[in-house]
Amino acid sequence: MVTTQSRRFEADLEFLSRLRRFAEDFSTAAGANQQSRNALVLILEELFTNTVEHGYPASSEQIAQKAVWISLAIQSDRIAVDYEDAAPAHDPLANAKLPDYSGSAETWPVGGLGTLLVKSLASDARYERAAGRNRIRFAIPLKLP
Amino acid sequence: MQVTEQRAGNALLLKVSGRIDRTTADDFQAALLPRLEQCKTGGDVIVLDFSAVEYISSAGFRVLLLAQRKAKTQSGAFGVASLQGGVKDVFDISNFAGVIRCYGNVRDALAELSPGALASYT
Repeated sequence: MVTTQSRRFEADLEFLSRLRRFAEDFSTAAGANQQSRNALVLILEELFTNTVEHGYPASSEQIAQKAVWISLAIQSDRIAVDYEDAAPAHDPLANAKLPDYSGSAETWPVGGLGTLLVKSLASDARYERAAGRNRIRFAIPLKLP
Repeated sequence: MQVTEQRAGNALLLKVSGRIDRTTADDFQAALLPRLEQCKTGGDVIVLDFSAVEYISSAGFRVLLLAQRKAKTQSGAFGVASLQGGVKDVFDISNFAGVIRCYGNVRDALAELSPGALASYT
């Protein structure tokens, strides 16, 4: 059984379905339950979307590789995940918080939920900047309740 | 992602099925927001039946938030019913139950939002 797999994806939403399939195939083979598979896919979708829409500057040509690197590994009863991009340094976990819906409806923020979902669903999530990349490491239990 | 429609009195029941993610959220928005036009005082009560929604990401929440915002500014009645498993979990994490009225099932939603429509709901 394969216990570690790594993939590189172009940072384009066109590749989101491939990323999703990669996560689903790996987590299914690892024996993850439905809840865990959905949590893994959700976190990766949020991180990937964040990288594509907010990470890499749209007009910047100085970044040679607008890509995302994902490594999944089975570690006893969980899947360990390394997610990396080469966008400018940014910790998406740092400002993750519940949006404020206390004001009038017109003032409700419509963004910001993605990083909150990542921080809430991922175990042991941490950010580091290394070798010119943003790296987020986290884990997902194979059997979420 | 698919949306099917059923009318019960003044209530418009929209059954959503499949995945609401970054790929399908635009279709969800295109299906939902035009129907919100009549969600106002004296107009349609709108209930989303989420019993067949397998997955929702923040892209889907964004659409729900836009819908709720529109309903609220029009003083309309809007709710979501029958959240399942992991979908319910992410609603809880996002504290969405504090923003959008959530119900255990469609009958409970109609009982509160439109008791008249409940009588014609099958």
